[in-house]
Amino acid sequence: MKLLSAMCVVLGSLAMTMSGAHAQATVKIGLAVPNNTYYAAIFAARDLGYLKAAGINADIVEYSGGAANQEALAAGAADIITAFPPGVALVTSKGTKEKMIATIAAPAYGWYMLVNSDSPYKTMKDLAGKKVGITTKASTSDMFALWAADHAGITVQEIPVGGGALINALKSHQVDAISIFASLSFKALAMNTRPVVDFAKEMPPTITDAWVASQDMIDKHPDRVKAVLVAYYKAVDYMRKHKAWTLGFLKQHMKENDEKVVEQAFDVETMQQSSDGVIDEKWIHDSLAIASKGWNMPDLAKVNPKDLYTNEFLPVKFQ
Amino acid sequence: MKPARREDWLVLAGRFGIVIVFALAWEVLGRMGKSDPELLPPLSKVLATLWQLLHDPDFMVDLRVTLVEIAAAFAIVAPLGLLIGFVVGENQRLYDVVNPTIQLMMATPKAIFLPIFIIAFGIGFTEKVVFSTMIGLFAVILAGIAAVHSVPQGLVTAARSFGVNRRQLYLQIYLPAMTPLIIGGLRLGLVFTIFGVLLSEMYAASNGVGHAFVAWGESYRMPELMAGVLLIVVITVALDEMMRLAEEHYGKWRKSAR
Repeated sequence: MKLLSAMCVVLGSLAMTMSGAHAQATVKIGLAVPNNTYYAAIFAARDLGYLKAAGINADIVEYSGGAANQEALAAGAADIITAFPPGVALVTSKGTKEKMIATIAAPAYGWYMLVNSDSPYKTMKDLAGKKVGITTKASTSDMFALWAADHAGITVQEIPVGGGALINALKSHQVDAISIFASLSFKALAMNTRPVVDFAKEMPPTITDAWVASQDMIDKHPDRVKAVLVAYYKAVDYMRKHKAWTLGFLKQHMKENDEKVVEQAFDVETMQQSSDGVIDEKWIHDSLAIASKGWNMPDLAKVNPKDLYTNEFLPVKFQ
Repeated sequence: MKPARREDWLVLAGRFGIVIVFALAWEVLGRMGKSDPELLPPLSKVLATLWQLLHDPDFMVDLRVTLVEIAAAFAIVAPLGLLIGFVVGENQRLYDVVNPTIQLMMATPKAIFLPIFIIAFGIGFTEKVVFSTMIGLFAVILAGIAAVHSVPQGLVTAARSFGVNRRQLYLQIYLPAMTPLIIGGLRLGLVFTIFGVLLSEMYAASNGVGHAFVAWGESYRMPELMAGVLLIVVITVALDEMMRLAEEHYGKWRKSAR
């Protein structure tokens, strides 16, 4: 009798485990960089239980740049990633099958061209021929720097230093300016720097970050794609409505002790990022036009924006 | 045990002296404002941050992941590298055929293969171990080959003339002669293995010390970054020093033979 009871317990546990495993589908999510506040909501969605409630077991990986992120998608190591339109256009032209599925951020809130506060450069024109630090070539930072230079009618020397070394390079005067992303820009602004360009105000609106899924994922598991998006934007909504909770969450996520920086990240990024993922085709068109001119790739401007995204999951609605 | 000579103590004092001078310079430059504390935090701040990190559960998970990856990779690098080295070193024809390939692989900066490894193995534990094994393997293979070739043939001939069997030949002639070079090769292999793990974690990972380095760098957290670097340096030096002492112990007969 005891043996029979034990067997029932074991078999019951196995059944529960297996049924649990079937209910949770694993989705591999790749983020282009670590500690980015725009991506924080996917971690919030996990911590708040939204992903689990949607039947998604999210395997979230932070890569060291857009290129590594794209490689992961191409290799099948990621199902959904973050990327920007020119990046998607470049890889799809090489045969990778992927589509933008939702906007994370547009326009470029929190992106600046920064100089040291005590530098003689007051406007972008003053940086003619000077060194501008960017993260890497063919990155958003690179594209924005080239746009700013072109818009001011000047040329600059771009120096790829990596995201982690942008502030170092500026403070040590190895470069004269940096094209820098949120929320690192807020940290830099707290360290005696000032903007000569505010990309959100001065540049035509473009998508700085979008969710991108492999075509395989879109075709075979649209339910999982939708579930991830619903969980993400539901978390964005929660974060906006619960400021105190969000500040604490962002402080831990960013591992940032400066509360001013955290508050700026909340005000600029969390409050202004997309709430429903809607993609405006003009944003993609303008993004490709800017990248095409900046990178001297005329073919990029000829890419049909319609080929780079799908709106079958948009707008993202949740209860 | 032979008492340490005065010269040995002087050498040891000199070595510690260099470390102390470096540490003092780091601390004093920061405190005097000669270096930007945002770019190069004073050593005391870095040490305090290191202490905090060692009590941070999240970081300890990352550290454990990295150490396990290093251990797993080196557990493959050491025996596999030595086995290949011995086999190639013992067979002249095989050596002539494969040596150029081994030299080429040793000279090629293997970091360029990382994207291929990600495509083949993903970004998890397997990829980290396989990639860092490749990074560390060739140094150990070359050490194994050099170790076999370093056995004085005169000793082998003399031993054979005394009628030693194969087992005695390998255990009492080959092994003592090869051991210092083997351990030297293993030291190099270990350093390369650690480099391979950190590099692959920095490129793409969900955890590990390398991943933490990138996260700290991207958020301009210099005290944490410097603390992490210091920790890795200490761990690498400690492991290397252990192997160096073993190399010295097993190579004593070489000094006494001079």
